[in-house]
Amino acid sequence: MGMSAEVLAIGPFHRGLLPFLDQPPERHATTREGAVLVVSVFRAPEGSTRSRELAACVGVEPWDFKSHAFDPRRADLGALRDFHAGYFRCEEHAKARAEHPCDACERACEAPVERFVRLRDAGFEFFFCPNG
Amino acid sequence: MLSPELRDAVVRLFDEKGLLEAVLHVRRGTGAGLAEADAAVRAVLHEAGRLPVSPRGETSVELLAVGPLGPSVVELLDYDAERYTGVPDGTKVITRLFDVYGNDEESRELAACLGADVWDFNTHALDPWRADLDALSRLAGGDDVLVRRFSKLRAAGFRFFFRVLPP
Repeated sequence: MGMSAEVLAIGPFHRGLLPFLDQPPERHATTREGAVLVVSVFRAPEGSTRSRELAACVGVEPWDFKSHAFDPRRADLGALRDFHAGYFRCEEHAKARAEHPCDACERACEAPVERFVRLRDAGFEFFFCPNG
Repeated sequence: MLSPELRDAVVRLFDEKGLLEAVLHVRRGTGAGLAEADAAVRAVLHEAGRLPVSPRGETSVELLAVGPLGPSVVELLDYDAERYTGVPDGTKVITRLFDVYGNDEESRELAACLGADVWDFNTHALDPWRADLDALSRLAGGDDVLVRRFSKLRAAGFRFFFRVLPP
């Protein structure tokens, strides 16, 4: 059982965040502005190497607990884009297990970083959560 | 996947000493984190008929707490206290207290224990003083460790969050 990791964000809901939350927009039909939510931002379930790479991207040490509530302004957005580059496939290519990405695949790889930036700008607090 | 020897030990320890000892044994034996060990132990206990089996579903949820590290809480977090050596008191830490994987009914029960509703996101930032601790203990299979952790973290000023995991 190797190490895995997740970055969580906690902060206030507003309608502009609907595309960036864990659940589809229809689930938030009755969610009030300002309701505090937990959102999964990044995940590295594959093992220690990916987890350590993710930690470095957001400026934390994987097992230094004083670094886990981190300042999102210190995250390296370029490194986060590189971390996700080529990692996701669009729905069509995922079904086909396609090796080479299309434009939609590349947009899918951009999505986690865009989510992070939107939540950061909305005042969410961020946590690196190791598991291992 | 736990070895046959470890699975036997999990059931024996659960019977003799309770859920926490079984989880700690798996952590020591595999190096797994708390959440991972807890999930592995619960799977073994379900198979062994030691934990109630309820209708399953798609919903996975968890209970999180966020607050300041201090002497009164260092034993209540996800990892052994030694891991927090050198971390200053007051450092904000996050801990997972309980989770439910793929079970609609247990997810609903956990939410209800906490005064929340699974699909009402307005209720997910919890008021911990509204929690039904007896119901929480029953949901944890009668094990009082969850309630002890919850109560002590609450007293230490932690904030609590109910979370529906992404699909």
